[in-house]
Amino acid sequence: MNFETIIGIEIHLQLKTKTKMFSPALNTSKAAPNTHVHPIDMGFPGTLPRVNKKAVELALIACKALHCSIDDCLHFDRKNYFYADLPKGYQITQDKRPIGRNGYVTIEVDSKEKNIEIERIHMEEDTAKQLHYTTFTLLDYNRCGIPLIEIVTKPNIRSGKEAAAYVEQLRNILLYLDVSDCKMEEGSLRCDVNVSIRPYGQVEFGTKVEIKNLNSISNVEKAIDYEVKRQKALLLRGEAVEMETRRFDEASKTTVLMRKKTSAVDYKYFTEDNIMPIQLDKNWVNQVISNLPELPHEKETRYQKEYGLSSYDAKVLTSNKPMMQYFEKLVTYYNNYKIMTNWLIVEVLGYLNKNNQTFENMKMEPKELAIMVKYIDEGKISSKQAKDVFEHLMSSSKTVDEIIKELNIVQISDDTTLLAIINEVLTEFSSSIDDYFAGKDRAFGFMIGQIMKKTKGQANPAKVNQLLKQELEKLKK
Amino acid sequence: MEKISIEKLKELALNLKFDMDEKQYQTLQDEFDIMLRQMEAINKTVDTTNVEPMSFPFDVCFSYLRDDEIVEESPRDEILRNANKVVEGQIQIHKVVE
Repeated sequence: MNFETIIGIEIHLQLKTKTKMFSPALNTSKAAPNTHVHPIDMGFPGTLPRVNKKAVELALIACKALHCSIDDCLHFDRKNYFYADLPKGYQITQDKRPIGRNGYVTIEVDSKEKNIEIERIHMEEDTAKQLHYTTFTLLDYNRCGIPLIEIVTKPNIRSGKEAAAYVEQLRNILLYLDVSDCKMEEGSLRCDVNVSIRPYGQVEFGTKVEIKNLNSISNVEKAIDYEVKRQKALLLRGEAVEMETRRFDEASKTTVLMRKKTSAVDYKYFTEDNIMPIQLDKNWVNQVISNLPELPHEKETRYQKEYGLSSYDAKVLTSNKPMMQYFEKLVTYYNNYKIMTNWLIVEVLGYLNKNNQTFENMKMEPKELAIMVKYIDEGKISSKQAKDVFEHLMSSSKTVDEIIKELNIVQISDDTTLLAIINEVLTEFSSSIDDYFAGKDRAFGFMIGQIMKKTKGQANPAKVNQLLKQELEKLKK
Repeated sequence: MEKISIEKLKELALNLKFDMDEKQYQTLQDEFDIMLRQMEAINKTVDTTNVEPMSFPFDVCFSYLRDDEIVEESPRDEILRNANKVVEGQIQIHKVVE
């Protein structure tokens, strides 16, 4: 029997604000336990939550970037549950009126584009961190109240590969827009996946299983692939898939049962009556969402169209924000986009990796790289000489012209000078001329070598090639 | 409208983690009875079709958002003062997960 996989993903994302969602305590994950807590986070009597403007701004940016329609009147609700990670006894969230609805993220899998639909984006507060030991649990409230957005997809993801591509694309976008750190391993981006399978043609969904504890994108794919296999095996044996929460076990690359979901938890959602509805100023909302920069995947398309780059090159350039910014400066100085891109992707990246450097602390100015490529095109320097110039550009703050002067790099491209040397070589090595006409290709290379030797490598190779051929043709006649 | 039974009240009390004695449950049930009868009476006299439910006494919006600037925190000792047991700056509780 063939099965169809149905996947929905919920992502919790910590927002990059200075303070918490409803309190003025510092938003940080790196501090001694319980040192960044405000009475509001603890739910002490008499405290009232106050909504963080920056958190709203970042949520709006996320909504816009993920093509959601925006609800510009904020409504908050209480999700009630009794647990030590939220001392109030409830989490302030947006249940009935999420800030964003009906968006999508475009992903590419096996060279095919697909829109993953987003059902909703809502704002809420994070819970305290719990450290479980054998017999007891320790609580750190620093995380309690950190602003979160939860991004929920519709169940229209169909494979582990698509799921991984979705999380990756989402992370790229939100990282680029500075909405969040998006660090899965540190928990600023947390991903819960719902997986079910059904025989092809069946309309009803199968029983879904939730997978938690996915701390990397590759684990998202591995966990789903394993879970689909597990569910298929169950169904083929005539057993039922049970509603449960499982976690991914890194060591065995399998999913392990955490708890059965015997009955749906009733969170008794109701309006957060400590926060009156907040009507956002329309001008402010417009200002926030209209200043959104061009996103990496939009740039990728534009680079191909505008600069004639291959899709691979465009992808590499946009995968690294500092490199992309460097490239955008580069193209303002010269127009041989393809060659300049090659230098960036091959030579510059290679050099940076080898020397443990980054684009941020790189010495070579975009303008200098552009000039160097221009000089190669104009025949002022050879590609070989350019490699020397490049090494100097990367290790000093000098200009191309200064380096050329310093290294005494000259390229002889002038016909008269080159012809004189070529004829010298032809006279000196007349036997090579015979070899050449006898069809020995090596003889041509030998003569080029002699010319380069005489010019100390300064002859323009393309020019020498052309002129030598021309002179030999003359001798043939 | 559904009548509130003692069983229902006990179920809710369990969910909300509290308990009462039988007499208190009885009192609570009587109070609910009165309330529900009052609601029924209102329902007969006031037509609420097409009326949006309200969560606040006044149908107004605010526009206040807190600037993400000033950091105010309480000292750790203050925050942890209510805790029964504190270990290395963290509250220790019984483990309730497996």
